[in-house]
Amino acid sequence: MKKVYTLMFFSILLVIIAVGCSSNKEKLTLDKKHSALPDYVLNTSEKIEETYTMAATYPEVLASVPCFCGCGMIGHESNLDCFVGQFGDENAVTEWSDHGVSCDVCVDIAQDAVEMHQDGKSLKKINDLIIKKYEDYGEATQTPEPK
Amino acid sequence: MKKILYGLYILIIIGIIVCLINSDIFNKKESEAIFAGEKVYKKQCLICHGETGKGEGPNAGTAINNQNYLNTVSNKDIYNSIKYGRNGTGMPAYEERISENDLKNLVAFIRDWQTEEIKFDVPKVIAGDPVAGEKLYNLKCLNCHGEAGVGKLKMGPAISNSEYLKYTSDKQIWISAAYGRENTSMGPSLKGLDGVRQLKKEEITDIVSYLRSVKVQEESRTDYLKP
Repeated sequence: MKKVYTLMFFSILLVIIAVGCSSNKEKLTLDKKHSALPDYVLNTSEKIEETYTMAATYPEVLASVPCFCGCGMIGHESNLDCFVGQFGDENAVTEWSDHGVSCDVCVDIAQDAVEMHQDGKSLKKINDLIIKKYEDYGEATQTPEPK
Repeated sequence: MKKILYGLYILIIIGIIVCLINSDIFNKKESEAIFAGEKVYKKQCLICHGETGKGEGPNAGTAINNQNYLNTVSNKDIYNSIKYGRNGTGMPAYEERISENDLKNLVAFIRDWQTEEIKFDVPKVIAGDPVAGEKLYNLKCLNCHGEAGVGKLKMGPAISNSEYLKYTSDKQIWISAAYGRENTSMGPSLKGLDGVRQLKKEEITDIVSYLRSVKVQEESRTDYLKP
């Protein structure tokens, strides 16, 4: 009987630890309304594929944060432009951008911003936190501050 | 009792001597060079490389105050970078602009930023396939470093101009690609490290071989300044 209690105790403990350690990050899948992910994304890593899916799923979040890789020099207005080239009707991605597949800071900013959004932070708060974390990395894009 | 006190005094005196030796207080010459180098840095380099050397200056300048960079280059390499610059980029040659003494002081000041000793794992021989390297370069590096390594303003420094290739060894290029520059937009590229490119050792070697095969343009590349 003692063994059963011990087993139960450790099982409950394991469940508590698992719940405590899990992040709020949802497993995303790309909505069918978007263009399929291009080979240059599919041939890289799971993390990059996930980030492109995040960009299509939460465009308003990525559009509210600047990018610090210097891509303002090539006309990018926010972190969103590192992943998406063009949107069509109903915010469906019609063209992807290959910039994000090789850009560490672009991917990190997108991942952080979406995680903060899933944690319930406002766009303004996300913008503030991203600027604080990445401002030393390079020049920011001219992204309007969300209200 | 007296004997214990004398012993204690001797121990304290030995401790003070050891602390003074380790504190660099007697290395007056080096301290003077660092101090003088700081003045030169503020006058000549801060506008691009920034007050802390992290590339935060108002003009385009690469980050030079990071441990990966400082552990990749020798003092002679830093000296050559300043003296001969990078032809066709925003980094001019300083051999005519500052004295030999100022140049050496500047090197001492930059070296003083180094706080860590890092050992990099590098292949013994760097000889890869430049054709495969070009394909990988175009996919993984071109977005920031531009067509054939010409560089992109405020994004990625030029890595195929004559001075860079002349004064940088294959192993140094390999280390820079593999381990990146911490706290900058250049993350590590080596598989297993925390970067997005996740390249195998052989793939990085191919990219180095490609950069070595790029035909260096001797005349100034003013188009570098265009985004």
